[in-house]
Amino acid sequence: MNPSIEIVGNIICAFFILIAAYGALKQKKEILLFGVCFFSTLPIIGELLAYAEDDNLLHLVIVMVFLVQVVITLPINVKYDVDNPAAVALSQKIGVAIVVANLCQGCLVLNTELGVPHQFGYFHLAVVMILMYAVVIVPRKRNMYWK
Amino acid sequence: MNPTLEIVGTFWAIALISIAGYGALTRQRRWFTLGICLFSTIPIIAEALAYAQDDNLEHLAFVIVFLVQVIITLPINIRYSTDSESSMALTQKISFAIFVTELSTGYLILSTELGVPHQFGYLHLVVALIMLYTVVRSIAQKEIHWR
Repeated sequence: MNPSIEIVGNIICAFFILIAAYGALKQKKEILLFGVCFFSTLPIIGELLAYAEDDNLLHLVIVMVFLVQVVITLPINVKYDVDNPAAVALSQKIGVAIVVANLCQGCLVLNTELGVPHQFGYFHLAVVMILMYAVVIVPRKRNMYWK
Repeated sequence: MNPTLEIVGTFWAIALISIAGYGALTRQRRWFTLGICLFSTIPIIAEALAYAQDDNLEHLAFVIVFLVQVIITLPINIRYSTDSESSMALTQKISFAIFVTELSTGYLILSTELGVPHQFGYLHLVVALIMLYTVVRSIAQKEIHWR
């Protein structure tokens, strides 16, 4: 990977992960989704550049993974709370799907020769931790509500 | 692809797409999501078998895409109507994500050399059409009630 793109990518990734972490800690749904959504656009750009270089279809399939993630994490201006079990169940399904996608992607980057620098694998795992906190821990704590 | 697997896979996929189509036409959410969810398991099985044969990472990336789709389409036993705006907005996001996945998978199968028989590409496009139908119908006719 081009070193300039790698450095800029690292900084932008870290920035969006911090935004998502802030959203999860403060229980602000829109900020969490904003961070995860924009973080997911970075692999799309990276993989499209890689596809332009080597024509390997693997890059296009990874683009698909993150395109879906961008769509399901698009911040929408709808408000719901624990009194709406359907919306909570749907948002938990979305959260679990993002956890699984990032966990698999992190494992792929760290365990195989994808040509992606290892720190991006750790970034994916950081997103997994943030979403695990948002999907598993926050709903179990009393007096913690998403805004 | 093994001809037996291809024939069995094609018939199984057609059966599940028919179930999803029936669910979409009669607005029975459980049949609709069950059809899409089980249909999404077919590429997971096929790509896992293909990965076992040739160790190509493309197959693993496809497995991630459809694993995410299985999770977001898992039928949940929660009822909601058009009165719940937040649930409807989340459902539309999920439907649009499935539409994007199926459209891109169908396009990739039909236009590149993935080693997947072409009929599966058309089947993915049929699922994309079913999703498009449900999204457009839910936007156009606000008073539709799913069971």
